[in-house]
Amino acid sequence: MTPSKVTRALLSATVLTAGSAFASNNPGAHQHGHAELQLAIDGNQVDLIFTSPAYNLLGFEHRARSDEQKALVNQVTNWLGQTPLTNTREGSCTVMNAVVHHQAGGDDHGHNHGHDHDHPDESSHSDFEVTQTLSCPDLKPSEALSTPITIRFPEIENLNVEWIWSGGQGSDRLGQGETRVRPGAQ
Amino acid sequence: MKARLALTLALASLWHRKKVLALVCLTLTLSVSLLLGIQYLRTEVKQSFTSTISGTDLIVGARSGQLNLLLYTVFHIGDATNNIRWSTYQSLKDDNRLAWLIPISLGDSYRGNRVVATDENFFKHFRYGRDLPLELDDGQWFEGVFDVVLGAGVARSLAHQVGEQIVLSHGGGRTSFSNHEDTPFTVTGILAPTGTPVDQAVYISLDGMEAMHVGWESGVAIPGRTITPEQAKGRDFTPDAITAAFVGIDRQILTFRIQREINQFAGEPLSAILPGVALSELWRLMGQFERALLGITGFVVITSLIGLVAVLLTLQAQRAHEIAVLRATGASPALIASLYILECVALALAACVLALGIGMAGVSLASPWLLANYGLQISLRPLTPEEWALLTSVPIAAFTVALIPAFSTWRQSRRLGFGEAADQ
Repeated sequence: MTPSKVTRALLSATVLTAGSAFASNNPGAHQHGHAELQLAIDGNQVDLIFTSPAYNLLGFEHRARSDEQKALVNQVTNWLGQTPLTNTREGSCTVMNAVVHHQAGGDDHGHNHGHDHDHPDESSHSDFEVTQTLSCPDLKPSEALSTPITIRFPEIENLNVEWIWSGGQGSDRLGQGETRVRPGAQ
Repeated sequence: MKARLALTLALASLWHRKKVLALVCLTLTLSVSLLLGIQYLRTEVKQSFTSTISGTDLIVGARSGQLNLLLYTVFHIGDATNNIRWSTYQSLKDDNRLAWLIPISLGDSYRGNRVVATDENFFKHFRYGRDLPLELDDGQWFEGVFDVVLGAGVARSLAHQVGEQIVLSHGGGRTSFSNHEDTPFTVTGILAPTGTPVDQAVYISLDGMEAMHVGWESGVAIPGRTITPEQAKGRDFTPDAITAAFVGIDRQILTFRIQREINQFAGEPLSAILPGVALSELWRLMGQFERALLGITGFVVITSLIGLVAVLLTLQAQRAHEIAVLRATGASPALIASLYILECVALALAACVLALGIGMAGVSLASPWLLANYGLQISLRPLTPEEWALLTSVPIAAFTVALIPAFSTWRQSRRLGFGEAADQ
């Protein structure tokens, strides 16, 4: 082994040990085509968390470079901040509060608090994380709920939906174009 | 007038052939019972499976996949890869958003059944089925270090009573050579059957789990270093680690946030899973089983309907004389056709009512026995809309089927040559 190789081996060993010392900080899984929607339903209030790789929503994962890309990032961020990501059949849900986190760059404006994180040393993958609090006046969880996500972002091939309501917990997997989940059916 | 006549004639005709019809009705009743029974079983098995655990908002264990964590904590299948520190459990306990925690410590067995070390919260907060609490058939929940509570299945299969002493084995497996012989446990209670894996386990205190491992090294008891029950009194047996914890949350809307926080816990790598979500994921994996049952239901429907057609067509063959007499006395072909339809629908309705009765009686009589002997939890419940649809499809199918003989009789009776006269 040449000295340079030894150094490299040592270096990578150090990197590995440094990584395992904080095992609780394993990088999260990141799978294109796959996204997750978690719904916590309490009376007329829905708290939801939507996480997806940026690729599903934008078609790229690097920071927005061109003006077009920046515009796209803004458009998607605004949509995620303003559209209820789940809704009743009558469409009665309104967004009370929304936070959109992402690392794709672009200018932030509007009422959604898009955060422009800059992590140059992190991996090339980036994720969107949206939290919303919805108010749905005539919410009956035993009836079907719909989500516009699979229609708006056809890149999402399967959307894992998990829910909690007074009737218990459950999950379902929506394919492309499928929009309805029925917590009450379980 | 005509309708009334048809009804009187139909009843008279039915009464005339009551023996044959009783047999036909029995055949139909059996088909409908089978149809409903399989459909009922399909939904109940799913319900029984998905409610193996209820009321628990999160299960926290060492980092692993959600199915693995669910399988070893709830179903007692497979083993934990790692434990969680006692200090981590304490810090979870200090979180006032969590209403309660049930510590779970696994690793030992009793004649092939898992030993679960826990505390009184398991008895107080564990729920299964539709929010059902655990109940004791006999005795009381453990209090002392060397007390053990048996699941219903364990007590039944090994014929144990309250007050008996049992010796637990080190590690898993049905035949273990290293037993905790110095520290026998006394049975203080026997749980009522639940139809869940709870029945197939024995429950001891966390202190008991620690105490029986004092003086054990590398899976072997060091002679003279294990302790006797007398020596155990007054000693502190706080464990270093537990396998997992079941968590109840005050405001369930926070569940996903708390889950996220636990998954990102800085002290050690943890996984928090939603048992209901993991159960439905597991059920999706076993979806083949449900589809197989659905397929069987489909075949039963088809077979029953074909049987119905065959039986009704046979009936028609027997009625040639009756039809001829009716025609001779001036009954119109339409009246005769309506007789057929009335008869078939009435038969189908009677079969449905009988099948419902048999089903209800069967479920209510057999369910305690099924639960006690096979751990299957099947309870009486109102029919689902799908089951009602299936049930109403029987008279509808009978009506459709009756149209065939009705139409052919109508044609035949016209051919007998009285058609013109009757129509006038």
